[in-house]
Amino acid sequence: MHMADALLSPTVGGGFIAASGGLLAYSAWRLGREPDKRRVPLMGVLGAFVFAVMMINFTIPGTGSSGHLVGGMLLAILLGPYAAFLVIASVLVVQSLFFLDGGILALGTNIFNMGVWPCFFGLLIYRAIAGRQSRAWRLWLAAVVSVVVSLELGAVGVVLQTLLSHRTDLPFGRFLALMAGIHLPIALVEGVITATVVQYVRALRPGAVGIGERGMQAAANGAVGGDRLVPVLISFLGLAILTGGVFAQFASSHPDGLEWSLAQTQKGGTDPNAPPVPSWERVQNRLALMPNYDFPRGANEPTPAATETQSPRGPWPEVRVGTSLAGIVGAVLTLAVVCVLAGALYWIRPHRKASL
Amino acid sequence: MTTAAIEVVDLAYSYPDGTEALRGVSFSVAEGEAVGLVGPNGAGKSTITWLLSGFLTPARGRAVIEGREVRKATLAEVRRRLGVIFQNPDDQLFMPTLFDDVAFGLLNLGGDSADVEPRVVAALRRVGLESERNRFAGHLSAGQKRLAALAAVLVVGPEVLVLDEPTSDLDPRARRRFIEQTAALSQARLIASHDLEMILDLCPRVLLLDQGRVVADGPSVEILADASLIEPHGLEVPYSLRRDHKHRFRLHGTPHEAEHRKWEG
Amino acid sequence: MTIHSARLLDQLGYGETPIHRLDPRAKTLATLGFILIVVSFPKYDVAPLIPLALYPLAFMILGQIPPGVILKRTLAVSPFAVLVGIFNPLFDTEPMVRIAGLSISGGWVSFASILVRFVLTISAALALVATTSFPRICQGLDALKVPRAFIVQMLFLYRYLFVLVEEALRLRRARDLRRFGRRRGLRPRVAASLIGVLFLRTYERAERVYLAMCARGFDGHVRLARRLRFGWRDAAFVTGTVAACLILRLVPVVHWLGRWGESWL
Repeated sequence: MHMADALLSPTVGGGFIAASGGLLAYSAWRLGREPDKRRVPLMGVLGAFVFAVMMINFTIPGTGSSGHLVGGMLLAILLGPYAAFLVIASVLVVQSLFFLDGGILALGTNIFNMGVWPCFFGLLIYRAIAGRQSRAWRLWLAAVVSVVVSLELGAVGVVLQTLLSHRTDLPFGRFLALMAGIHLPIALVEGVITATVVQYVRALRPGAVGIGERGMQAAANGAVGGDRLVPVLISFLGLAILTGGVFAQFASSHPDGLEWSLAQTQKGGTDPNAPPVPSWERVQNRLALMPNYDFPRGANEPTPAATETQSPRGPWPEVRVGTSLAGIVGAVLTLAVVCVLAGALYWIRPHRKASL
Repeated sequence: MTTAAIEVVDLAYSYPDGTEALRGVSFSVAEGEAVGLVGPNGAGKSTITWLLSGFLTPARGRAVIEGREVRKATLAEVRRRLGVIFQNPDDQLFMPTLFDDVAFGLLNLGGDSADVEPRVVAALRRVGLESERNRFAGHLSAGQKRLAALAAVLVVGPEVLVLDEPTSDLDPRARRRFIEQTAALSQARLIASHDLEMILDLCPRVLLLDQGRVVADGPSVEILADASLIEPHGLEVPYSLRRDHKHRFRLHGTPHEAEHRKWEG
Repeated sequence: MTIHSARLLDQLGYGETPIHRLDPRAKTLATLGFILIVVSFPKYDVAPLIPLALYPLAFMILGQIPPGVILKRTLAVSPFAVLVGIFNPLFDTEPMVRIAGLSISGGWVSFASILVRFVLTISAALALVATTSFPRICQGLDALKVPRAFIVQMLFLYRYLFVLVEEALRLRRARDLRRFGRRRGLRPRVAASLIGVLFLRTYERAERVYLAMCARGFDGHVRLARRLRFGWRDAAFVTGTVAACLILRLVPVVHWLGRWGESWL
């Protein structure tokens, strides 16, 4: 469920970094309002615990550690929404940096998909079902349902973000069905495990579940802005989707503003009144007699301009490389240049004796 | 009468489940004195450590550190004067680098970054870890971790030290280094350990604890050499004090016995 | 990614090259900028992305990171990108490029683009981690005003990550030994009980660390020592990198190179 950078567009990625970052800051602030010394080492160690748990892999085919974040709901139940959110976010950062589970830009989306749902929605559901009693069956039902909902929402998040980024051609419906389908059995098993652990912990160390329940009670009573959180959340979500959706839509069917002006430049290459940088013009003229677009060399080829304007990809073909021999040549030459430069770097790198 | 570094009077404590961990313990440790605390598991050695550091509240009696009674109100003061080396150094080195760990106590005292640095470096230099100041604590060896924990505790200048099993998990060389470091200290030291040879090395005086009571309090050599005293309390006489090479009887009948006899001459 | 490779990556971050010594803020911002620019390329761009490979390459070479490290890990996680990207050729079949009579659909072009993006972003992230220790990265983020509570959280996580993983592996190995080689993987019930045990140990460790922190004067506020210094080298690095990437993004360098090359053919 961890998104990779390669599938994101800058607007979706950046939008979710903003959303997740904002929620992170908010959670940190809320934690600061209810200081608890004990929490500091506990949160850190529990974060490490999540990784330790991944070492105890259970047989769900095809997931590994990239499947999802194990224990998100458990953390939310035990620590309360804000602390758990910070812990989950920290786990995702470490996963991204050390285990390459998810990209750096994608941290925004991943923290959202795997942190927001369990901590701020799943927990409400859990509390609603489990109530104040510790009757076994209610606890189990609460755990399973909240885990399933959180994971499924996370899966939906991944699908939406991929879709809005317009880098893949995955059909929405089938992708969604696939993701939702895969995560269902995983969620069921994790729900069961969550319930078991919560029960176990409750039996042996009632205090351990206390911190979380205090937080839950506060949220339940609507105290200290607990009931203001959901609207904030929804607006964040709405903003993120709106941002991603609108801008991505614009970006895909029209080139970026800058790109557009570039295309304009090239198109008006021989026009002395053309606005932009004269040097580009000069270079243009010096090169081949090719005016506007790249045409494949073959004279008998139908002019791509004609076909490309009809292309469903939009009125502007990507004027860049992929459309011609020049592109291939360019690619090869670039590779060569890169290799040369890399060699030069290798040569000038600081020579140090291997220490120790 | 000069204030004792540690003064414990009729200290008693029971765990929530009812077990009586301490049943009225009294002793004192003078300034600069090194006292060993020995006894079987469950005797109450760790309980004394927790009570002295104020993590537990006694059911009866009191603990006094440098003239200040250990109470909720005086915790901050007491902890400034008392340094505790816990059994597991990984629990004590929780900051990203060694430098940060040693600086932790100083910064909590209100030190400024500027004058913290030289003191941290000095503390690390004293235990021989100055070159490791930027190392991640997790990358250190067990011996280095123990010394690092020592530096982290010493840097704030406590007058009293309590050490809980400081040489467990150490290889002979690291153990020797640690003993040397500890021997060179001037603070009052209370050292709880199963490593009786180390106790003999470091502590002229020893307290024998069992079932929550002080069974004996006196010169180490005298007490630890007395098999009839210590054996009923789960200990045995350290080899260095044995005059009759009793351990040869353990080898009796094994192929090693002949080797050993030859070596003894 | 195994814990073993994570450990290796961690170790690399503590190296001592000029790249390692750059301010972590500079490296983090430059990497983030790099990634943003890479993903901002249009869907069907492949060749224009190539020159950007210089960024991770420079890191690797000047940071003396063994190329195998980056290569292996990139390869190891690439199936994911392939799996998702492979749908592009399946759904986007409209021809886009004609080379020597062969017609290549847009789907393949965008698939290639995804792969290139993937390699670039992954290697950039790896390069960052391999040349900056995690505590330094956190220090940089702290200086960039990331909430302190989150920074502390990450530092503590990092500190006990390998410790707890070791513990979990030991538990699992112990359990595996008692199963006499039956099929891999544990039934959920068994896994749950192991997790329960691990959790309790984790909780107790957290308690002990908490006590150790209190014993050194912890008052709820974790103070971090040392300030980072942002020098001209660091500024030059960030601005240089971002500028270069922007130029490559906005100026069709590769295209020109291609045309120039073409004119020679």
